[in-house]
Amino acid sequence: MVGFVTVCGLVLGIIIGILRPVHIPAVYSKYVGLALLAGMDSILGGIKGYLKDSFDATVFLSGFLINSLVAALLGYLGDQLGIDLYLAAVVVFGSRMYQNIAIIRRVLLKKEA
Amino acid sequence: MITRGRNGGLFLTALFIIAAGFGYLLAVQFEPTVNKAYVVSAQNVELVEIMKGLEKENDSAAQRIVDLRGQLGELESKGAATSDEVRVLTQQLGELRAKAGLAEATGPGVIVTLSDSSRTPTLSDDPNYFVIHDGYLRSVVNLMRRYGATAIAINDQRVLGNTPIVCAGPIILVNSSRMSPPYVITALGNPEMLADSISQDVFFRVLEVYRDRFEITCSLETKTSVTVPASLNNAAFKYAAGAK
Repeated sequence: MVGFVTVCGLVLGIIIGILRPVHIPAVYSKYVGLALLAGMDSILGGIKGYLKDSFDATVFLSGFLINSLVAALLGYLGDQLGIDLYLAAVVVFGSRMYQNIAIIRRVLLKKEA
Repeated sequence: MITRGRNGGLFLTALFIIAAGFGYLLAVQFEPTVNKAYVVSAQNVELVEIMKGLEKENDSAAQRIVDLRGQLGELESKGAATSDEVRVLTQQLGELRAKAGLAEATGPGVIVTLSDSSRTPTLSDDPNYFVIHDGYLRSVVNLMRRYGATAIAINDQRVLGNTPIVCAGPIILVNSSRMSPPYVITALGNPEMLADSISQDVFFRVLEVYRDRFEITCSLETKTSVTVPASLNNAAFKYAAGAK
């Protein structure tokens, strides 16, 4: 049920995005990218939690929303301060995505065996 | 298994909305990136080829102008040997050519060198401050004229009254010739007067501030002898006749 709802929402969002795209100015494109990165990290974290039977819906949803917002806001704040703070988000979420993928892979391999 | 609220209606609705938002952003973010990457670069390749071809044509045409002028000079000196009258006229022609900028000129003067910054702008910087714009060249040329320069050149191009200095993306076109930094602007004239007046001008001071803050190159030097090339552009007054 959860997976079905998620995929439906995702597909609907993509279709709307293709049919009715809003033009994001190049300046803000980076922040949207950051938010997406944080979102992808949350999704992988969610899948990991699901496979390890420790999935918590509230944690997942709040993490998803707040991480995305904070990543974008911190990126923006960093640019205002003249520090490449967005790199912090890229590194943290990027490395966490790798970790999560590694864990998911291991769990799946164990299940196969 | 912790399943707090996992199948609650509220949770599912929230999940649906968030997934849709995520998908929407994903699609919106992808769309322009993909379009820009493909469409523009494909167009660029074609334009670059056209540009290269035209530049080759330009170069050979410029060479032809130099050759023809050489032949003309030979014929004139041959003619000058025939009579005194022709010799005087040839001399006048030479003087007029020099005044019109159709001959190389040498003399005392100044050299202003402008070049883009060696520092890469950070994300919080405005990259516009780090490059030399066509307007800077126009302004410097204008300053030189104002303070008595008699002949001006940018890199290898003579700047005359009808010389366009225009921006074309990352490069600047002077006399339709592509220029890239450093831009060496040479002016013949009284070196001290030119140097003093230019260095005290507000615009040049602004350039110096940019040099200190954004590390662009901006220098002014006096020379006892500088050379500016001849203009390859024969002014043909196709659409102008003297009013009587």
